[in-house]
Amino acid sequence: MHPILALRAFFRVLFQGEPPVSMPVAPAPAVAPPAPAPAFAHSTEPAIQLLALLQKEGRLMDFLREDIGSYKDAEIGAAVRDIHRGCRSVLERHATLRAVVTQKEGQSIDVPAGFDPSQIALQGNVSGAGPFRGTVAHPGWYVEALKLPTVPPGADPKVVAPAQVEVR
Amino acid sequence: MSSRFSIGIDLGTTNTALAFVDTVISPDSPDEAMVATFPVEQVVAAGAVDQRETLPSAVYVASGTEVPAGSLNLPWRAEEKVVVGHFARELGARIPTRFIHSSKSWLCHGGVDREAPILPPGSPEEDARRSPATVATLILKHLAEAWDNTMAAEDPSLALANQEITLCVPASFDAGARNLTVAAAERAGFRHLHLLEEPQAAFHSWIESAGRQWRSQVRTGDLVLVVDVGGGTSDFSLIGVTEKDGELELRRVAVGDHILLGGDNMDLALAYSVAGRLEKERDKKLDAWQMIALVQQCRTAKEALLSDPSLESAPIAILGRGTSVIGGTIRTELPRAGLDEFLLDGFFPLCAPTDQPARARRSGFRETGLPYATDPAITRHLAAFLVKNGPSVAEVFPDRTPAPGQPILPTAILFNGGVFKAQPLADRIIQTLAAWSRSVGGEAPRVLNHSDLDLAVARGAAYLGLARRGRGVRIRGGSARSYYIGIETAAPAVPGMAPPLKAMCVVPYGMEEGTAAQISGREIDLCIWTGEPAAFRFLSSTTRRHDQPGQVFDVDGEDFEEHNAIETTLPSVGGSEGEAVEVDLRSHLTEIGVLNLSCVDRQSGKEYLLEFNVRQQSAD
Repeated sequence: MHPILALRAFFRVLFQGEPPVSMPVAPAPAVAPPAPAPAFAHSTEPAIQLLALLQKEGRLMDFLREDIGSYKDAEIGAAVRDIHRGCRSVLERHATLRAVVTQKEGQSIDVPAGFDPSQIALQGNVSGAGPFRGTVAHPGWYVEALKLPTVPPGADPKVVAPAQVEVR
Repeated sequence: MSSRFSIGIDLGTTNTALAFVDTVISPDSPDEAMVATFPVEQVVAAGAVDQRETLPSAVYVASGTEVPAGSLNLPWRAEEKVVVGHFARELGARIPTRFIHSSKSWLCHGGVDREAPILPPGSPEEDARRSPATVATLILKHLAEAWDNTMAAEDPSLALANQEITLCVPASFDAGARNLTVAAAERAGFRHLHLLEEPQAAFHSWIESAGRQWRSQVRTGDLVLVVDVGGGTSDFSLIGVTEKDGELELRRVAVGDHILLGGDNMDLALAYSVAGRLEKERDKKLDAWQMIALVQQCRTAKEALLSDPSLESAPIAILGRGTSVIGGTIRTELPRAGLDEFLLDGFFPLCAPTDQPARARRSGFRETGLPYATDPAITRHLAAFLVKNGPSVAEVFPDRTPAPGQPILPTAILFNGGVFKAQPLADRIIQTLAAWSRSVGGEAPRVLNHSDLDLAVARGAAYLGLARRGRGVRIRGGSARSYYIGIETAAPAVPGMAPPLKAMCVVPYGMEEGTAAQISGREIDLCIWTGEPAAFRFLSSTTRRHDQPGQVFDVDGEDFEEHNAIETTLPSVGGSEGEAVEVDLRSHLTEIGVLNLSCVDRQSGKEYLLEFNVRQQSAD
């Protein structure tokens, strides 16, 4: 029975005290109620997830954990080209990076009084509260946005890279 | 009915793309139509969904144990088994026996049952197998769901199934492959559908990108060669520019054969050449995982060398697979000399216009794999195409008539397909055509510039949707082939010789969509026995331009190509089985672009559809 008809029948019984005589039968709804959309979870360990991304695309964990002392520069160079390409693509895809200041390296810059010391690190002949005038030695890095992909709900968030097993 | 959106879909061998025009915000002038591409949401990593410009035409069927639970979910529904697109390709590199790719190449392969679960070929995983037709449906369904999830979330009337859709197929697809494609799209829920040849779509995309300027860039008498080399296939078409009542008119005057040869072959050729050298140096074979990495590296190295002529070589490094990433790395390089040798001389050799591609030797037993091109030389395939179509195209352009056995030469070239992002490869085609032209005192062809080589087909198809509403120019084409039914002639049996075959034309070349032809069966006494299946041999030709429906010809090899048989069964009337019924034939090329052939009972007028028999390969 259609829910509205059922409701009407219920009220009729409630207020009139007698069962309905002949209720028209409504066709059952043809479509099943839509299944709830699947949930997409964010990792509870976002820092590990970032390591996982850098490892997957650029093999960064393997590289940093390897003892490279015995290899020739050319050997390291050949591999690093690929590692660099992979890690860079992770940054490009997931982080929006910009410099902290708009001036280029070597350009002069005016730093107002009351500046944010987490954004600008003064060096050298610093006295008083400012304003200061100086030269940019490094323009800094600033993350505008970090967009990490979702993870399967069934995945262990502490895994940086799964063990790979070749089945023969 | 006019839907709000005009949709164009490029169902490619390696990548699928969707483009659209919103007629509500588009101005009336087609020169200013705004074609947009639709980034497709898809699983890009376990449990992560993102938009990508294209949807890789790849399907992976999970066993349920290889990824964490919830890895394959889509924003619009939970999914545990089948993943389409980017992540399918990634999983496929790990577990190839459950991975289906290049299914489109199988869709036009007459030697297999394309509705039987045969992919991945030779896979022992029964539950992973799907038919080529099903894979097409899966890919199109994913597109529809992704579209509906973003574009029709609030208004169901904007669902993809309610829009006018132009779906692209290779120009070389025969009637069987076209019909299968339409059936696959209908299973995906598409209702307002048209088929379009891919090179025509590319040409429409060029018109769209040139805007108002396009009319000044071509002129009456131009013959434009569309060279489309994608990941897995090469396709040639010729489009002629004529004039009618002072307006430019475009006509597709020739299409080439389906050549299974493309950019993937080039990357593989490079990888195998490098692998051979590496294995000799190291005295150790590369494993499958290293080989995949090497193909990827060769592609990157190729692109680097081809885009920067000053480089003498490009480095190749296959990182160690274990944790020892530097120590396990195999290092080598791809020298420019090797590249020229393998790509330009291997795939685009300078050749004479009369050179023919090497033919496959027919062996007694053939593997049921794909019929890959035997000769990798795209320039030789091009030469053969231009020679073969010379006489028929010359009928439309008499002043371009080539000498017998010589190619018809285009006045302009339009490139399509990702391969031509590498300028030296496009240059080699131009150089080759220019040399052929100069040898007969002609001019080198112009190049019609087009930047969007990957998405052009989808964009052009969306744009054509407007032209179909009377807004903008359309390329006239009609059926790219003429079709025939084969009639075996009565002849005394001679051992070792098949009885001579005659062919009756049922569809003329250039038959327009939405038209039908009636063929009288009286002349050849066409009868069918009721209650038992009647099968006809089925042939086609891309070069016979004048055959009219009902005419009968001798089949003498070269001109005709035989397809799978077609068959029908007439119900027995009143229990009397095996009664001969005299029939006529009727062919109908629908608005969608599907070929319907039927037998008409001459007495009752009843029509019986002839079905393409997919299960049995035609006798060679």
